Amino acid sequence: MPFSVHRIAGLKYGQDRQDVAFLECSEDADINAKEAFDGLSEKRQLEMRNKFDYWKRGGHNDLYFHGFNEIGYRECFVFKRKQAGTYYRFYGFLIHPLPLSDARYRLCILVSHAHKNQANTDPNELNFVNVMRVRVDVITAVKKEFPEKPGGSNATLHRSQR
Amino acid sequence: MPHYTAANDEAFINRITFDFIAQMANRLETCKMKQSELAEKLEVGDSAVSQVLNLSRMNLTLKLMVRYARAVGMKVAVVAYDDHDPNNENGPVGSEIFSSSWEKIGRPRDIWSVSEINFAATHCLCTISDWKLGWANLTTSEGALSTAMETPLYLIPKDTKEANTAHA
Repeated sequence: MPFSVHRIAGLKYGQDRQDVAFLECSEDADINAKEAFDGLSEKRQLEMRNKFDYWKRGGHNDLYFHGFNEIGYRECFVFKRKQAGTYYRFYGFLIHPLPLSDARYRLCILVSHAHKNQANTDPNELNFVNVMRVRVDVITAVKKEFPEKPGGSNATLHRSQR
Repeated sequence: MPHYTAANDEAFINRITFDFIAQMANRLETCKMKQSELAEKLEVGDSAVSQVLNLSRMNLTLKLMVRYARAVGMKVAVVAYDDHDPNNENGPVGSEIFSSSWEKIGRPRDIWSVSEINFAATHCLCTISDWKLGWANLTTSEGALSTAMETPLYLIPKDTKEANTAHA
């Protein structure tokens, strides 16, 4: 399937130790995080950008986003939103796309979007994300958008210059 | 492409308001305080607090920010800073950077304390730059030469003339 990874307009990439991006696939309707984000009102997009930006810079806040401690789901991640009593979730996975040039640089690739009436996470959402996380063509798409930087391991020292 | 907060003042205000609300949410979590308890302290309904914490209401006045902060035992500072980014290409510096930096240097209460901390740090660095690191040839109480891992690292004064030249 043709996977692609898209950067989020207005966020600065390569400035921090971690960034957020969307996975997209025209042949899989369950990969709908980008479509859901694009369909949000300007106000709600701003709200999500604030959360992405806050996380990118190392902020912690379980009310707005968090990872999962359960074995098997530790690379999964969720950005949360609540509106008029409904819970909205952007599910994704964490990946280190630059093991050679910047090993600690981390991406959160958002895959799917869900809305529901209870706060708890549906394991099926995380299972789907986990399937995507290990697919070779997904990883290839990530590495295409975030390729290794020239300069080998020293690139870590020069992140701000990218 | 510039940071999304460069689009207009509203976007910038929204981002720093988010920062403030995130601090309040974190504080509630660390204090184990429920939203209903905060609402009670503020003498407002639960839904008013929920709207703020769930980011449905972002038009917070400075007065309301101070009320929220005081209710969770915190204070508010309004900080203007120059990060050499006049066109806001990189977005705002997070408020947690300022608060954690303040905590890290010992929570100074006045400008003189900051100056003293600066002086101490600078003076210490200058002093150390006049010294060089060296391994001491020590023997243990048993008489055997201690291993590199056990040998303390000593600061050995540089030649006085060399140090003076460095300062000049």
